[in-house]
Amino acid sequence: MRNIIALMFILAVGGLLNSNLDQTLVLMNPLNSAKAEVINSYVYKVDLAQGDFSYATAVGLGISIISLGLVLITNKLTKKLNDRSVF
Amino acid sequence: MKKSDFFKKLKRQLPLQLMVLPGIIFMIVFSYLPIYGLSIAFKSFSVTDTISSASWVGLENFRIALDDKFFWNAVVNTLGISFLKLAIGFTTPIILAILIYELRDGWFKRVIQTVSYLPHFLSWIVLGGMLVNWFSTSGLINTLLINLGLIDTAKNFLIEPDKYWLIAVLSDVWKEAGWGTIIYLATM
Repeated sequence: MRNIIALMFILAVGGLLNSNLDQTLVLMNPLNSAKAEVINSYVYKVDLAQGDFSYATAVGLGISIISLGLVLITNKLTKKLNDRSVF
Repeated sequence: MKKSDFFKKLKRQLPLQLMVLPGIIFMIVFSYLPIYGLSIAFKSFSVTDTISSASWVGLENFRIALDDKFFWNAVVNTLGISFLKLAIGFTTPIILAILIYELRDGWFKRVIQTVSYLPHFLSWIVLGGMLVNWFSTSGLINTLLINLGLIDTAKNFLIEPDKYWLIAVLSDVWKEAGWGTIIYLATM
C-alpha cells in the first residue's frame, strides 16, 4: 500500500503542470476565461488560433522540462523519506 | 557477453522480440522522431517555412514568455487547479478504497464500486455538456437549490470566474475518484 501511494504520488506530481485540456475546453467560456485558462489551453490558443508556432512550442517545451524536474525531485524526496521510488 | 551468445539468445527469443517490434516502431515514429520538431521552439517559424529553413532566434521565444502576462496567468491557474486536484483528488481514492474494502461482500459493495467508477467511462465532451447543462440557470443545480430555499434567484455558476476552480476540481474528482480506487483496492 505504501509502495503504491508513493508511486502514484510521484506520477501525480509529474502531472502538476499538465492540466486537463478536454475539461478546460468544454467548461471554459469568455466570462470565466481569466480563471479557466491553463497552460495547455493557452498553448493550444497561441498555436492554432494565433498561428504563433514557435512561441507555443517554446512554452510547451519549457513546461515539459520543468515537469521532468518535478518528477526527479519528488522521486528523490520519497526515496529519502520512504526508501521507495520509481527509479 | 560474447557476440555469438547474443545472437543465440536473439534466435531463441525471436517470437518474443518480434512481438516487441511494433511497439518500438510506434515509439520511434510518434515519440522520438517528433523531438526534431521541438527545434522550432528556437526558431522563427511561420507557415511558409519548413522546419529546417526557418531562421534560428536562440532563446528569444523563451524570453517573450517570461514577459507575457497571459502566460503567467495561465501558470497561476494551472498550479492552483493542479494543487487542489492533488490535495482532493489524490486522497479521495485512498479513503474511498479503504471504505469499500471494509464493506461486507455483497450487492451494496458492488453497486457502490460500479456507480463510483462509471463516470470515468464518459468522455469529457459528454460530461462537460452535462455539467454546462446542470449549472445553467434552468439546470439541475439551480432548480435544486431554489426548491430547497438555499438561494433566491437562479444564476449560471459557470460564468462566475471565482467558482471555476472549484467546479473544475470537484468535477474531476467525481469523474476519476472511483477509477482511482481500483489500483488501491488491488493492493489491499
